[in-house]
Amino acid sequence: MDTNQFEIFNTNVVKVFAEFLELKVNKEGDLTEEKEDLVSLGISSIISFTGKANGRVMLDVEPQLALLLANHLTGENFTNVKDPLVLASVSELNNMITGNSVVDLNNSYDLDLWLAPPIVMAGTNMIIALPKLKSYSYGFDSGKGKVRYNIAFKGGGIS
Amino acid sequence: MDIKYVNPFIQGLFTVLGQFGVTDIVKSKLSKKETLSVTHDITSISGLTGDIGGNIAYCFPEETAKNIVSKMMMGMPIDQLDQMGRSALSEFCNMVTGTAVAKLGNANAPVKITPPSVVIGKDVFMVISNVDTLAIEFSSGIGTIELNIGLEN
Repeated sequence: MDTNQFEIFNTNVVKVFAEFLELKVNKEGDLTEEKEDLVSLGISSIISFTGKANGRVMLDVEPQLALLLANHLTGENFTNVKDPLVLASVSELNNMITGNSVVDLNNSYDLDLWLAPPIVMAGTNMIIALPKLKSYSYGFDSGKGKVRYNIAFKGGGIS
Repeated sequence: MDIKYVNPFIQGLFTVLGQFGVTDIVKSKLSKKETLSVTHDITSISGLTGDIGGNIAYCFPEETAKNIVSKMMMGMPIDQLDQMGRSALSEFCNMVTGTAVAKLGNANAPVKITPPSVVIGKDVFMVISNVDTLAIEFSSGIGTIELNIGLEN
């Protein structure tokens, strides 16, 4: 595992939350390998990719934070996390974090990564499995709710 | 959405189910969704990149998913969809998408598939792509399967 490559995602999570939401997120602990399938914090957005590395990344946020993000980005006052605009806000945030990270990775490591369109979902105790790939998570606290950014790769000299 | 990109996924599903002895499958419903959204118990999603970008989602009621895994495991009864079961289901969807993409390659549309993610839960609401989506429901003795095809190109 090349932690320099994972660090690019960590940097962009902090940067995008600060720039677009004026929210400081603090990393909690170190990068952690996930041994089990993940249980969502509430709202999860997945973007998968191909290239010299294949895999997916997932932005996972608690419901109250998803509502805050949507309210900030749209100027509305949402109360239902399953509102399509709330889901779209989380998805767009992931698009920015992952898009920036992939540009950085492609420029620095020539990984030739191509992104599939984002997926976003909301539910209680959702299990998200990615069989056959190891995955690693960064945890963050925003003060308004928890954030997890999970990375699963194979190839590209990463895993 | 060009039908030439849809048929390979239908053929892929028939081919792979046939390999596991499921031959009584019929198309039971066809609908168009404005977004690729699903509400089933279990969904396996693969992304597509290359000349065709998008997502393919296979949605199952829990019983159907268990029946498919049972067929893959030579008829072994499946009481719960544990980690091994989820892995088998993911492999099933990978086989269908892989078969379809091989056929798309023959249609001069180079496409790569991403590793599938499997999402499990009751009362899950999911938006997979903000693109027009074709949802095709299939029925058979093992239950129903909804194939959602959301392509951007």
